[in-house]
Amino acid sequence: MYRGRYVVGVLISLVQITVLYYIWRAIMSGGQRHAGYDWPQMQTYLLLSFLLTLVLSFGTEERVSASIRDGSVSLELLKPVHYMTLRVTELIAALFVELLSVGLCLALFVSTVLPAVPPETGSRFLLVLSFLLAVALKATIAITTGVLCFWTTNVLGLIACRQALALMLSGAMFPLQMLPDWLHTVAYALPFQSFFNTPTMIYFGRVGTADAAGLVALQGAWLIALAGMTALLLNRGFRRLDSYGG
Amino acid sequence: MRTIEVRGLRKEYRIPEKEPGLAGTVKHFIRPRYRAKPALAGIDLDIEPGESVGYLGSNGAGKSTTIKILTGLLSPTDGYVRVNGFDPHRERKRHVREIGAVFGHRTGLWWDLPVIDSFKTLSSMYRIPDATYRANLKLFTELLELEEFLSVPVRQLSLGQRMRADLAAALLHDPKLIFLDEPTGGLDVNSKVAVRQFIRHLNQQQGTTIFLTSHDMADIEGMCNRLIILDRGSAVLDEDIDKAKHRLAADRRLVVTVSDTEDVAEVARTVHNASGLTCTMLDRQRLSCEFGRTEATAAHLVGVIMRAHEIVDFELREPTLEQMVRRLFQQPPPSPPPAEVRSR
Amino acid sequence: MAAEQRAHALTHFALLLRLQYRAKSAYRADLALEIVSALLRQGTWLAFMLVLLRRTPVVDGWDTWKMVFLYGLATAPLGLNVLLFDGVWKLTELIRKGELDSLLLRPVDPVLHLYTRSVSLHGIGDLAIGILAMSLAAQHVPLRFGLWTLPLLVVCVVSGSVVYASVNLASAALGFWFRELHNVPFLVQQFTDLARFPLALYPPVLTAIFFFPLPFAFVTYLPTVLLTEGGSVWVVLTAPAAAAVIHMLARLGFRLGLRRYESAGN
Repeated sequence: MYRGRYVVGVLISLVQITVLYYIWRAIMSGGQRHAGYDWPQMQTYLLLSFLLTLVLSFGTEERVSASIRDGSVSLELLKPVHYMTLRVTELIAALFVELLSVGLCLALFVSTVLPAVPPETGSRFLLVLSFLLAVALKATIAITTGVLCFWTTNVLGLIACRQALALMLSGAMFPLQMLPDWLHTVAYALPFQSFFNTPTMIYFGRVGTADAAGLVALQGAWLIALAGMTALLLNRGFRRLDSYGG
Repeated sequence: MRTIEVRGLRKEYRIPEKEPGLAGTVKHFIRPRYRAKPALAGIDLDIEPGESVGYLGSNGAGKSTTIKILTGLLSPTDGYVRVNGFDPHRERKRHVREIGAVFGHRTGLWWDLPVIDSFKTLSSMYRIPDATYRANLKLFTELLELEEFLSVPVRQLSLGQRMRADLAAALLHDPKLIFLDEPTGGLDVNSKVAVRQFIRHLNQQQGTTIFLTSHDMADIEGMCNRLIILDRGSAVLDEDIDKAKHRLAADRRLVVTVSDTEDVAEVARTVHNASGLTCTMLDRQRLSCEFGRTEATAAHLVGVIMRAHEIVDFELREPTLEQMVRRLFQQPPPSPPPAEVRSR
Repeated sequence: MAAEQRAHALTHFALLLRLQYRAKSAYRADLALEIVSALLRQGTWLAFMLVLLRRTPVVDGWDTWKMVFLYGLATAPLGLNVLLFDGVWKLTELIRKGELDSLLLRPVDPVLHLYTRSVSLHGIGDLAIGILAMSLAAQHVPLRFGLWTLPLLVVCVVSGSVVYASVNLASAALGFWFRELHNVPFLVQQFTDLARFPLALYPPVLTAIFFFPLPFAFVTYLPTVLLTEGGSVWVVLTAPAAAAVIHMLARLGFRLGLRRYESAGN
């Protein structure tokens, strides 16, 4: 039945992308370009956005936080596996399932509905690397948010906050160039743009190899920073749990 | 009018036969297949106002099913059910106004609200007259010692506190009949005693009819006048609690381990000569003697043996519910597993 | 008798709401977080619209402010829904954990009881952003009914929240049959995002969904068209009518599910 739930999860993302798709279509119907994208490119852009939303969906994230919330953490602590290893293994398993289904979606979409624009990047290596880093970042931040359950009972509110920010400031709804300047600056100062903006910029060849390498390095830096913070939080959280007596 | 009147009550659950996986789910959706699983196989009950009935049975015997049907939560498959003159399921909304119910493992209170706000809500829900509400609140606060946590949200209560609050909540509207499903499950000793005293008080002082299920014989002894034992969907016993206790709890068992220099058969003979009891030999060192309360006391038996033989260990076991039920069917008790006997 | 009972149900409903709000507001940090997350969630779409419309002021005959008005009219009832009927979200959990019993043991309408099972003040966030969007838009869009717009809007917002609650109830009631599919209500909620934009943008199949089974069109799109372009005022009355119909259907679904629950136990 988990599969049934996953299908519904995909539909949820699909509805979201449908809104974006039809609004963009209406806006670009006059043959205009926005932020340098024409309609076929924009379609590919939205397709990428949809696929990256699917990788590590809300459901996975909710499971991570739920396992902490329900105190199963204290149970899992007794198991002789390091907590982080456990979580990461679990996430990788979920990711595998999701990547597989995303791959199927991709094949289906590209071959039928949307003729996707091929990548225009100078460096395929950087492109692949930035996609992988984007996925790793999403996984890390899911765990980070989950770990905050140690301090708040309302982690769903936190997830919702973060998702709203990520949706807008990662570029998943529209290219970041379309933001007013100040917001554009803010977006680049936050980790969210590393989730989506970086790989798509490279995909569409909007940055030179040097800049691309810089953006990928930034992704790496965020990954290390967030992973470090999560480890720290976990450590604190466990101590807090210990002092409660589990 | 009887408080509870049940004739030929049957309940069968329909268990979906579903193959695993998505394909199985779809297949089941298109052509559902079920098999029937009987839960109650024809129950008759007559409970008069003011009685206090203990409903006993092992897991899966049908206790919860019965109580859910009597409270209107489940529809019966077949049979006649009247509680306070209502058909509990068909006339549920009117029926539940007249009863109180506490399901031990779940709360009927509002998780986020302070206890007192839950009470206020119920007062409005059952349209309890102001004077009644205040009098009951005062009485229950006293008897159940609710004072200290009346303004605490339910989610922060301990299990014992929550159960006390739940009891009060179920009785605010002065129901003449109250259902209690495992009311002491998981409680500490003090809370158990408080709950039992309270229920006793209600039954004796206010004449409230009690219908309660439990695993715990002490619960039933502490709160009830009448015992009904359920096994595999049928009532196998229904009588006054003192009589039942006498009849069923009659057989206790003394297991004696003698030193290896003794002959067990010899010991058995000693016991037989002194008290007329026939003991069974468990192995070369252990002897099991069953006796009724009227026949002998454990102290007397141990004394008899010790005067003639060397005892290494002895253990007295009260019959468990399982054994009582088994005895009802006149089945021979299986020999006890060695691990139990060896315990010290 | 029936009228008196209904009046009592309303008083009771009001009392429960008051107590719940008081209890909820005791957790200040939680509440603040929820309001912020509501503002962010709703604000995202508003920001999206504003960013896009900065460059393309008119889409399919809809100018920026008319779209903002529609957005507001679709968002405000979401907030009211959270304030009044948020308990529906608990239904799938209650079914799975077998805790529905405590609802059935009370001498009141289980649906009403369910609605108030949990309500949340963070609806204020959604409601505020909806009202804000509408009042901003009202300064730029000619409204055809002058002062009469206000009562008409109230009718639409109230009907809208009933429509949202009913659709939620119906989708959560699916949990009676498919216990594991407890994210279906989230799917249905996603559709409310679609209803914030002019339905004319969508292909006919999608538009049809917003008439039935998710009749958001009657409470968002049609009233916006009416209020900004004019027409027969009777169109507004389709809002409460749609709300009543969908509510009846949702209750029917709930009752069927309940019957299943009552015969199967858990």
